[in-house]
Amino acid sequence: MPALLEVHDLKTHFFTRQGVVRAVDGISYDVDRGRTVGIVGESGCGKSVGALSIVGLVPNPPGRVVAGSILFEGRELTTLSKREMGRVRGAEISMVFQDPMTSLNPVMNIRTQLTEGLRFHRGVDGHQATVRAIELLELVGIPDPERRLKEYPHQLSGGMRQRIMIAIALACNPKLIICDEPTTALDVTIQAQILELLAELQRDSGMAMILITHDLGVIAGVADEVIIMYAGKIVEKALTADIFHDPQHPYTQALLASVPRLDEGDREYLEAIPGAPPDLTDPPAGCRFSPRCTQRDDSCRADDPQLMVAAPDHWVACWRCESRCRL
Amino acid sequence: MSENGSHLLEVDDLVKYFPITRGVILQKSVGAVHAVDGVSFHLDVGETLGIVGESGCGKTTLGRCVIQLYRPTSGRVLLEGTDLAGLKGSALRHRRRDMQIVFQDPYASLNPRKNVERIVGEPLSIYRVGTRASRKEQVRELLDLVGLSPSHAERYPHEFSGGQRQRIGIARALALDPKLIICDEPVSALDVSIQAQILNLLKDLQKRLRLSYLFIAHDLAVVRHISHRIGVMYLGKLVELAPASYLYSNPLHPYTSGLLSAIPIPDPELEQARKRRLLTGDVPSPANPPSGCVFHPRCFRAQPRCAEESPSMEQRETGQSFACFYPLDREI
Repeated sequence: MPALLEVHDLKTHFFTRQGVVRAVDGISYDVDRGRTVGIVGESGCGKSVGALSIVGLVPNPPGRVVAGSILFEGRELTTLSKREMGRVRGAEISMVFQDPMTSLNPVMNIRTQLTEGLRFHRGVDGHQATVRAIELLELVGIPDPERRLKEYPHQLSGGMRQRIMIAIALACNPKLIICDEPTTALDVTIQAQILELLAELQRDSGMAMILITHDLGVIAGVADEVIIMYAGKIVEKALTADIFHDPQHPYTQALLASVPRLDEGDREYLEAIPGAPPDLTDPPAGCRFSPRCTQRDDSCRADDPQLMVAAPDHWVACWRCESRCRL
Repeated sequence: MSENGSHLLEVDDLVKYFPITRGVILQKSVGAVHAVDGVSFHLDVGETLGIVGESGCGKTTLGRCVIQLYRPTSGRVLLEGTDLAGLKGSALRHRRRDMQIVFQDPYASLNPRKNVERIVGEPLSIYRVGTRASRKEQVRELLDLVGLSPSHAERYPHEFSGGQRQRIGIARALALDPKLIICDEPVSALDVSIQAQILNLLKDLQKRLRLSYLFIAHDLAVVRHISHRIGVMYLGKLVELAPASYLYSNPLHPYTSGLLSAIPIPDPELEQARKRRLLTGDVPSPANPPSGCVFHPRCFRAQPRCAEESPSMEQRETGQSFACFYPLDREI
């Protein structure tokens, strides 16, 4: 059986006055049913744009999917019309955004926002929709759901709003849920609650999840597989345990070493990565990480490495790993 | 401790309330936000004291009260024995030279219309240090000190990345050769790879210049890395203060342990094997804090007494202090 979602050589570029920003520049990955795939990278690496491309929400203009394919249950998403895309989005694939303060409508009550998808996709309205809305609020752990239905977003705390966002995403029982930095705007104690909730919901419903984050700690507890992105490309892709215990790409290694850890002993200095991520209107030649890489040699500047198999279920795009890899 | 037996900074029972007012013309006070509510601590030369807590716990207000950007409602802030809260005008300005602040957002804290030379040189010209030519020279030295090129002096903030901007902010804070720097979330707006650069720079500067830091952040892992001692704040109060390693290995206050267990560790096996103690609910409003111990509605060890009495700070021989009737190593 093919995977639930197959992204193949996806390129999403932004056409700006300063030039073409290659935000996503040829990424390929699969998401299987019931699995959680974590996508990790720093700001501007293309992790969010990659996800927005799946659901057709890349602002156009200036952005556009210029090449590649996205197959969802074998169906090509990149060529769908706006209307057709609208039938998929929210029903079969739904999204949870980072900022629960700005992604809810401040002048609509919770009930209306919760049931919007049900009315549109399933034609469920009135009493039936209210029953489902209460059920959803209970599912995401909101106490006193009947009262909350009549309230407005400003009456809720940040954690509660993010629970509402998740309830909206779940309303139509999607097969895939994309969470874009779902806990970044929240405090740690609330983040822990939301991550627990997402993991539980996913376990019970069997939906697949793409979790986008910059926080390696968040990924460690939740994801089955991890994709590391840098400057619009995938540099490494592996099972979660392998990424953390046997990272192959110099960027992944450097990223892991640069994060202060709560359980570390006394480390005088962190191993910082020198420099800053490149400007994507004019990415460096060859491997895009090479200007910051401590292991680079001449071949890194000359040619752009493709993903190679380093071990079963472990891909890496690095010339220095080539000797250990098969193409 | 310094030679004369006193600390560089001593904060004693600091309180800051912000009034809540109603009405437009005849404003009357209808309540107060208890942003900082009776906080005491000290800081020595060359030491870093980390302050952690969730949003709204009063950590930023605390930092601003120390440097007198906010005037405290009551309590004392002693810098080398002088109470800053009692100073005004030129006397305060004179003492302020010794304290500087680095802000969270390197995009908002640098004036976009000024070039780096003017931004970094501004403290020097305000205090009329040296001549114009010597200030120019000093700015270039400062830029070099924080890892920027002296040639950057002519450029404007928009030409720099987030990490570089934060270096400019640090150079500005160092200009007057201060003794104390308040770092208010200096790395939380930065990417992880850049965050490490700035943390290393701060550590390095501390060693070279014998600086003291009051390091305010919400990220406990970052605070643990940089601090010698850590204070945990909740709803305007300091609930635990301990040497960094103790706080992590042997937390005494239930809130500290809840906070620690909420922080994800970048290691899948450790992460999945961990016993979590999830705190339920949200932080209550500081305009209407709970009775007794402010943490009791979320506390997993709360007893009837906690709702009635407010615990005061208890000190241990290990240097740990905590405000709790039932610390984690004591039977209920």
